[in-house]
Amino acid sequence: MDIIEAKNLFYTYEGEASQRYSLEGIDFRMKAGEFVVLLGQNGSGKSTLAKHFNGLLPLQQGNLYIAGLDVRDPANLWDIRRKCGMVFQNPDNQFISSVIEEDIAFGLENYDFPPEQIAAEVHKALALVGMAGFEKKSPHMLSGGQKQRVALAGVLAISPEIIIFDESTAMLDIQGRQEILQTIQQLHQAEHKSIIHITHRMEEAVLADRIDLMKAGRIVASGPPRRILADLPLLTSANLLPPLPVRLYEDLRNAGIHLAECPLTIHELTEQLCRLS
Amino acid sequence: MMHSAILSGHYLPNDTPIHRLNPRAKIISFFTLLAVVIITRSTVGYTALGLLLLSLAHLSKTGPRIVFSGIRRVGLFLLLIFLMNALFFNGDRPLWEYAFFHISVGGIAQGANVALKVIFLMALSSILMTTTTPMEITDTFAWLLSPLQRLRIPVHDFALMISIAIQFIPVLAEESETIIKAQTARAAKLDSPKLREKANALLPLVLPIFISAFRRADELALAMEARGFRGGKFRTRKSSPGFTRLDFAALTISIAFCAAAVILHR
Ligand SMILES: Nc1ncnc2c1ncn2[C@@H]1O[C@H](COP(=O)(O)OP(=O)(O)OP(=O)(O)O)[C@@H](O)[C@H]1O
Ligand SMILES: [Mg+2]
Repeated sequence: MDIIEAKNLFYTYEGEASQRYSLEGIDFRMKAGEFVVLLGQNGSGKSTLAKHFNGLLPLQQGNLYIAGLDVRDPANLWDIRRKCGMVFQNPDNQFISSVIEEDIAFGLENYDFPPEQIAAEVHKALALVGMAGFEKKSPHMLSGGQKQRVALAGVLAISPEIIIFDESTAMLDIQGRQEILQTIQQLHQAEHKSIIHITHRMEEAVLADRIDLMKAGRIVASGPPRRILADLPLLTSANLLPPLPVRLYEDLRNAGIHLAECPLTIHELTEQLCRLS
Repeated sequence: MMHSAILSGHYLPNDTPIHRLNPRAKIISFFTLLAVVIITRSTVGYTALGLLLLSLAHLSKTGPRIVFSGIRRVGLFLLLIFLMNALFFNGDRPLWEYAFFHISVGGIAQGANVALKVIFLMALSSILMTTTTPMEITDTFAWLLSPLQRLRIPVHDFALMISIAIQFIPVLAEESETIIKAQTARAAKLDSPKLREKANALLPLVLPIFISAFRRADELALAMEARGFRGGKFRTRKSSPGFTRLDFAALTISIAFCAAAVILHR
């Protein structure tokens, strides 16, 4: 059984009579422990799809199972939200208390954790994101990356199996982004969490096991980064700018210089170039 | 960033008797002392209250910097209140009069009285806010309002909503400042004498602030729902510990002050 099984999802924000669909026949499957990046231009439906996975948007058409739970059954809603956490874009809009410990306890209280266990769970969640010791501090005093890690700890506290990051790196500086990406990879590798990462950045997409490319409410391609990111016509047709090393590889090829393999990262590009000489 | 921290009258973690007070005892004492601030008119009363607040600030390690930063921010407002009363209030024992100016001992006293009340009020709330966490305040308000629950008013959600709104004030204030700066840089005619131009200039300021506030509220609501929040439900919470000797002492002192103030200013 896959941890997410979506079949033929349709969704419109404008009432069922409307013909303007934000999702148009989405099939999506994900194995437990997989790291999937959703790639696509603005308005392609990434957030709309993600919000189906934890029941923030109701199912209109199609079938969706999260860890075997049918999303269509309202009785499953709270269990599904517990299995599938979500970190949003702006960390400032995710805190309900100006004391970190209280903010992280929010989810635990919602799920009726015994009060005497809460402090230990809060500590565990903060330790997972490398923020132990900040319990009594205020999130507003932290850097962007630290804030976002605390927001993530608030989600991790209730031990979800799937964590969705909806452009959670978009508002951060380079260092903050690096912090979050490292934390994501650690959650994926050491904690075996299933990760869905929504991003516009190609260098983040490289980290995934699989990339699903969205365009106008559909998944138009799905595969390993090496295949999707090196496919110039595919990316261009989805209105995305291919990674710099890929564009350089193409330019060099047009100029008659052939690299052995299409590089995805600057590091790989350097290696290929060094091998030339 | 520091600016917003002070603005929100931030909780400062510490281990002092004031921090250790049961939040219910603390907030009831707070309201009792608030009544004292309102009742007090005499020099004796203000001196006693001043001494009490100083010892509270010391005990809670709030420190004069934080107590005064709040007061400094309303400094201009205070000066205005004082001057209005001192210059125009037709009090007893006049010192100097000209046209509509009346300077009198009574007027000066009246100005000082109002200004002092505001100062004491700010100091008192800074001490409460720096020693009590947002959730402690939320829970206490929910507890105080709990009789309303019988009327099917979702008291706990309401208290949480207010507490979150208060914490968002600094974020929104900072953002409004940025927007106003950006728009005046684009030559908005805010200081135009013509009412029409002024209104036209104000709209592009107010609109983005509202839009941004709504967007934030929307994302916050989503984030809360995603973390399993359901309205209309009393959530588990560290059960409020019983009152200790310290709590009874705090209540006794504040009620004694209140009784003394009532008797003194009868
Ligand atoms: N609340 C809403 N009401 C109406 N239409 C919406 C709403 N949210 C999204 N849409 C529309 O649905 C489509 C998909 O939007 P969605 O937010 O899922 O895209 P996205 O891929 O997440 O884009 P972005 O990169 O900008 O976040 C867009 O056409 C958008 O205009
Ligand atoms: Mg989106």
